[in-house]
Amino acid sequence: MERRWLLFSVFSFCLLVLQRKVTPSPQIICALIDGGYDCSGHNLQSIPDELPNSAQILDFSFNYLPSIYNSTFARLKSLVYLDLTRCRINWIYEAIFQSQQDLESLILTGNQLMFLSTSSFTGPLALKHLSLAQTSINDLKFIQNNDLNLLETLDLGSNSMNTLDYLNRFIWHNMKTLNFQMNGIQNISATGMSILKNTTGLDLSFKRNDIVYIEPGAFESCRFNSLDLSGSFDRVSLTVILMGLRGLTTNILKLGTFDDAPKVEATADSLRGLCSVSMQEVSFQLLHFPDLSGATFACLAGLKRLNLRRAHLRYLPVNVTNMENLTHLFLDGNSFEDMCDLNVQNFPSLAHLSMRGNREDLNFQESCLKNLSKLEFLDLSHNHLKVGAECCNQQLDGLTSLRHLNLSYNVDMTWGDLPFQKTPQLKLLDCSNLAFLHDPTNNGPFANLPHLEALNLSWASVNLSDTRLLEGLQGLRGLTLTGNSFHLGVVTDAEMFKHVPLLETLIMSACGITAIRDGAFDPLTHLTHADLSNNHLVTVTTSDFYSLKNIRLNFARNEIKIVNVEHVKGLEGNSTIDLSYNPLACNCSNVQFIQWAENNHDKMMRLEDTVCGDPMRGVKISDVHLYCAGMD
Amino acid sequence: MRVLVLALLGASLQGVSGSRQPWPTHTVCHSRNLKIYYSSCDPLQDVGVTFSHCPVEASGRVNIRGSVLLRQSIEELYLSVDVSRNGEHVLKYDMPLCECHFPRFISCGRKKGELVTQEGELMISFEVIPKGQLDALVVFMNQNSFQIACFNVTIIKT
Repeated sequence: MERRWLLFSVFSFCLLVLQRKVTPSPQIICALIDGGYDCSGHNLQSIPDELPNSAQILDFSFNYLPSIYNSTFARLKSLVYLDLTRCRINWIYEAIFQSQQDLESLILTGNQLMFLSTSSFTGPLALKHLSLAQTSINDLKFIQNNDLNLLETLDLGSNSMNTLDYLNRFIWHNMKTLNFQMNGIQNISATGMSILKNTTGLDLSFKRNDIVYIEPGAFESCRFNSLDLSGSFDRVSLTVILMGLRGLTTNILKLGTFDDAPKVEATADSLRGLCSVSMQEVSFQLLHFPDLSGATFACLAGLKRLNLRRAHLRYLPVNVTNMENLTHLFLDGNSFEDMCDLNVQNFPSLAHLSMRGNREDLNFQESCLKNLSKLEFLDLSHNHLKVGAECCNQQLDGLTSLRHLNLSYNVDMTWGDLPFQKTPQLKLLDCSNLAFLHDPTNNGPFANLPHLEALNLSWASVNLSDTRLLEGLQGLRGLTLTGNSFHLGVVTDAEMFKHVPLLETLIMSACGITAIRDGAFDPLTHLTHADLSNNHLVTVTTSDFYSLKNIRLNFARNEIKIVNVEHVKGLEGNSTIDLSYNPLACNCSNVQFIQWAENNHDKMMRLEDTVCGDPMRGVKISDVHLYCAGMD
Repeated sequence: MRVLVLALLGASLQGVSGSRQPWPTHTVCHSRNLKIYYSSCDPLQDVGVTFSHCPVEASGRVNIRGSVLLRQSIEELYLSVDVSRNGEHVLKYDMPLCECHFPRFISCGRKKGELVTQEGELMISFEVIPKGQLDALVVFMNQNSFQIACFNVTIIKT
C-alpha cells in the first residue's frame, strides 16, 4: 500500500515538474490592474506592443524613456492617468499628448528634466493633476504653459526653486493643491501671491523652504483650505512669518516643525501675528513654548482644533479665557505629570481629546475632566497612567457623552465594580495590552454598557473562561480577544457568548485554542466574520456556526492537515475561508478538499499562501494535481 | 527516485521565484577593533548608508546619512529592528516614524519616485557596544505594509 502511495506521489510530482517545464514562460510584462495596466519597473524603453490601444490607466514608472516625442504614446488615445515616475526623462518635446484628449493625470516625479517644450501639454482637454516633484526645476518659467490653466493639482515639491517669480503669469482658477514643499523659496511677495487670491479652498504648501521674508499683506484676502509653513523657520523668526500672514483666512494653518529640523520657540509675543489671521485649526507640533501662559493663546480666539503634539508641554495655563469654541485638542507625546494640569475648564466645548504617548508617568486619580460634558472621544493610550487604588469611575466622572475610549497600552490597573458607570454611552472601548485586575465575584466589568458596539481586549491577560466577562453587552458587534487564553485551550460552551447576541465580528487569534466544543458559537446568530487564526486547531469545523450563507472564516496558521470537505462545501453566497499557512496534506488523503479548492477559488482567501506541509512544504495547493485511485 | 523528484521540484520553484544575486555588502566602518557592514535585503533595490567617521575606542557623535529611492509614498512609515548577538535574538524594536496625524520627520509624506536622504547625528558610546558580533535586521514599511527599505547590519567588535 505504501509503495503504491509512493508511486502516486512520484507520478504527481513528475507531472507537476513536467507541466512547469513545458509551459512557455509568460511574455506579458504589464500586469492588469483596475482599469488599466502596470508596466512599472521593467526598464522598458518603449510602450510594449501587447498593451491595448484602449488602456486608460498606465503605470509606466521606473522604466527608461530619456526623450518623449509626440509619437511615444500616440496609439494610446484613451489614456486618463499616466505615471512616468523615475523614467530618467530628460527631454519632453512638443505635443506629446496630442492624441490624448482625456488625459487628466500626469506623474513625472523623479525625472531630471532638462527641456520642456512650451507646447508639451497641448492636446488634453483638461489636464487636472500634474506632478513635477523632484524634477530639478529651478523656476516657474520652466513650466510656463497655456495648457495648464485647468490644473487642480500641481506638485513642485523637492525642487530647486528659490523664487515665486512668474507665479502670476498662470491662470489657476481651478487649483486645489499647490505644493512648493522642500524648495528654497526665500521671499513671498504680495505681487507674486496675487494670482492665488482668485482661488478658493486651496491647499498651499511652503513646508520646509528657506523663507527669509513674507511681505505683510501677501496673503491678504486669500481664502485657503490649508497653508503649510511647517519647518520653514531656520532663517527667520516666527514673528516675521506671522506678520506676513496678515489678512489670511484658512481652515488649517501648519506652523509646526520636525524632529530633524532646528528647534523653534513660540513666545507669546511671536504669536501676536495670529490676531490678524482667521483660522479654524492650527498645528504647533514639536514647537517649544518658553513663556507658556494665557497670553500664548491670546490670538487663538474662535479656534476649533489645536494640535500641540510633542510641544514639550508640562501643563496648560489656568487662565485661558478665549477657547470656548475649541472642539479638538491633540496633546500626544508631551510631558504632563497630572491630568489635572490640562486645566480642561478652559475648553468647555471639547469633543475630542487625544493624550497618547505622554513621556512622563501620568497621574490620573481625580475627576480632572468633569467639565467636559461634551467630550465624545478620549485617547489615553500608550501612557503610564497612575490611577491609584482603582479605576475608572472617579477618573471619568462627568464624561456623560463619551462614546470612544482608548485605554490601550497602559500599565497594570485595578478596576472597581462596574468601572464605566460614568460613561454609559460608550460605543467603542479599546483595552488592548492593558492588564486590568477585576474581581470576578463582582458584576461583569462592562455590564452597564448596553450601547457598546466594539470592544478590544487583545493581549489584556483576560481569563476567557470567565463566563460573566461579556455580561450586559447586548449591543456588541465587534469583539477582539486576540492573545488571551481559554482554560486548557478549549472553547468549552456557549455561556460566554450568550451575552453578545448581536456579535458580527469575533477575533480569537492567538488564543492557544486546540479545540472548540460543539455548540460553542450557537448564540452568535449574526456572526459574519470569525478569525481563529494562529491557534492550534487540527480540524476545520463549520457546523458550530449558525449560518454559512455570509461569513468569513479565518483558520490561517493553525495545524490543520486534512480538511473534511463536507465542512467547506456548505459555504454559500459570499462566504469564504482562509486556510493559509496550514501544513495541509497534499496527498490522496486530502484529495477531495484540494479538488474543491481548485473549483472554488472564490471561496478560498489567500489561495497563493495556502500551501502543503511536509514533504511538499511550501508548494501551493493550487499547483498540486493529484491522480488518486478511484478518481474519475 | 523520490530524492531525485524532490530535487527537480526545488530547482523548478527557484526558477519560478526568480531569485537574484544578493546585493553587495557595504562597509561603513572598518577600524582595528570595530567593523560595521550592511547589505540590502530588499528585492528591488540597494540602499546607501554612510558614517562621517568610525568611533574608535571612544564615545562620540557620528553623522549618519542614508538614502533610499521610494517605490511607494510614505504618508506613514514604520521602523522595525531585530537584533541578534552572536546568533541569539536579543531585541525587537518597533516605532512609527511618520503617521498621518503626526509627521515627525521632514520626509514624511514624500511620494513614490522621490529620492529621500536622511541625515542625523547619533551618539555612539563605544563602551556600550558588546564584544562579539551583533546582527540587526532593519526594515521600513509604509502605510500599505510595503517594504520601503530593508538591510542587514553586522557590527563586529573585537
